[in-house]
Amino acid sequence: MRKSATPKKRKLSTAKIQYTGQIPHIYGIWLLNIILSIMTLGIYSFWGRVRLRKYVASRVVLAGDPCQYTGTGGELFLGFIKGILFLFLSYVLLTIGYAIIYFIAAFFAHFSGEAQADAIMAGASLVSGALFVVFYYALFCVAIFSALRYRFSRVTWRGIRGAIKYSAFTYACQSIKFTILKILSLGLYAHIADVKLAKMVAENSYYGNARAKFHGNPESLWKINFITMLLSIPTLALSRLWYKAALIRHNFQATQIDHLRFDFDITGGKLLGFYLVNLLIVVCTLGIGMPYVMQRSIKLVADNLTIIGDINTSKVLQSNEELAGSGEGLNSVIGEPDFAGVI
Amino acid sequence: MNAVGKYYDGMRANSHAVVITLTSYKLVIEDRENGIKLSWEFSDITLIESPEFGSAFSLSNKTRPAERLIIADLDLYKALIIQIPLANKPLVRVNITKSRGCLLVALFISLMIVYAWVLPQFSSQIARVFPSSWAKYIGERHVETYEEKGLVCKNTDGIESLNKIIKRIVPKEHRDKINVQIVTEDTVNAYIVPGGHVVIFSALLDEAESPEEIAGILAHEVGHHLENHPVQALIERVGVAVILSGMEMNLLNFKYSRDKEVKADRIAISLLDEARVSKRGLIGFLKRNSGSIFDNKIVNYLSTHPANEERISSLVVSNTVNKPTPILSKSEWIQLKQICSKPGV
Repeated sequence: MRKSATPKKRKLSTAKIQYTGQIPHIYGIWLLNIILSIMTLGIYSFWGRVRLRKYVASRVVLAGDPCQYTGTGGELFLGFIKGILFLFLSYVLLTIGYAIIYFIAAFFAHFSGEAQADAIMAGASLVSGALFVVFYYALFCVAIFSALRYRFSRVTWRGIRGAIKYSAFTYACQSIKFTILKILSLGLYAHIADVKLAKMVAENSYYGNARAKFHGNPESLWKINFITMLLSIPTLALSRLWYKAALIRHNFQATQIDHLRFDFDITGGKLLGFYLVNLLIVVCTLGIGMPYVMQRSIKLVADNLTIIGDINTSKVLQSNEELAGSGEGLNSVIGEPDFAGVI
Repeated sequence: MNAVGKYYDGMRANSHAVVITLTSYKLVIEDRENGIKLSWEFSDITLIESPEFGSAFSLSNKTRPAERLIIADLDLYKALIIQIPLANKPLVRVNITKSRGCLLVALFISLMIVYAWVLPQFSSQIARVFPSSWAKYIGERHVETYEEKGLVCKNTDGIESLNKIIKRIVPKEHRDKINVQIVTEDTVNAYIVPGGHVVIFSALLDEAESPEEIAGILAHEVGHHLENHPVQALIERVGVAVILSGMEMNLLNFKYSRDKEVKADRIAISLLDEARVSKRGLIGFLKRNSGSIFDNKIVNYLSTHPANEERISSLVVSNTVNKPTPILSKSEWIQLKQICSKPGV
């Protein structure tokens, strides 16, 4: 008979990310970017952004090996041009969409009574308004996600690059679906929607050929979602920071790449302090303190993220996939600025 | 010359501690522990990342682009960089040393001074050579946005009353350059944009108690136009901020300095006097509203046209020669008040 015994748990090693970037260095690069961008009417900003990203990436060290940012200014510039063209095209399409809606409405209004005609035209305005909101929200989602995918593909560690193999369009559709469900459920569905979206992104993320796994369980978040949602009116939505912190913690703990797991030691109080100080820095320095905010954002991740498990990644191979498309397209036109989305 | 570094083969996530030897035509990379020995000829080496603030630099090989070599030795960098073909080092950049850093800070401060002090100082001179067709174009585009949204009030009787005020207040030689529009907006505000377009919000019209108040405000805005203040404000704003953030200029919130407000007031008083319109309208409107700083509706006009006791009292003591006569009849004033209502309402 086999002896039943609890297998002895092997203690997993843990590691912290080391970040050695320094404020004076970031200031130097940031100021040079501003000056050269002014002199070149903004064109240098793409190369400047790359310079800053390269600096930051090379200062992020894991297990003795630094990360590398391999994107180029040319790629970002090309992406920006593509973004402008895409935005223009989308504007034309939206205008055609409006014209069709109003044409159909006018057609029906023509054959209706005065009161009905007014109602039809009001309905057409409502539909076109909704179309406008959904269309630009979708564009925003595509922009943010494409940029994330691009940045992920341009960061290497030990020469192996990351990848997110998921369509930005599908991401936008899912994001819209979940947003609508969140609104309809008065926020009670938020934790399920957020975890599902994170699962979709995580399970399509790769380090080389190692695909990430996600063991999330939204049930563990329902209570904090419910309470912070109830408190969001009296606290002017500040209570949601506690939910956000719980979600970040949950998502990191649920993600696994190869044998590596993660833990992110963040609380609502920490997030509140972080955002408040950032706001104060930006407001009191009239924007000149922006490098401090960047540094604080990166340090927040580095100081609180723990990597659990054996970093023996010798089995991980380089992905054979083509690199994600050039530049950040729409994001450089309508999306978030650099390091704004770190947390 | 020897140095140590890290080598990644680009295939597996392995880190190799290597010894690098610089010879006369190649780099020899050796991982003695794992028995790896590679030779990279100078013509194949690409500089991926140059050292920044004393950091390591990174190299790749043109024939195997996924491979990476990271070296911290700056002496090796100096010796190697002159050997690599120019086409393979697109990212060679000027390092930010302490003295260059100071220069950068000085440049940045100079730019800020240009933006905050030099541009406003010379805005009137620059405004003089600013093409009027550009100013007209900018103003027209701004006003068109109200037109597109159907916010411009077009009641015919109201427009007739408005034209009567314009005809009296605006000197003949400037009349074709001034275009006044009443726009349906729930904020008490009136402003002028480049090109002579005056916009008066309907809430201001509702707030006004007499046609002389509207005439006074119009005269004040015309004063800004005659002094070229809108173009100057445009120049002051077209600076670093616009280039940096790419933000659109909000012509609605152009705020003028106290001096410019006083100048516009002086012109307004002389225009009102010439037109035989009482200055009490303008004074009354400012007086009545200067105490209402907690009323959001009023704040907008006052935030762009700061009115303090000094400004009001200088308006009170200003000399007028002509005896004022009413600018509109009672019925015309009612028609003007109803300019935003639909015809027949």
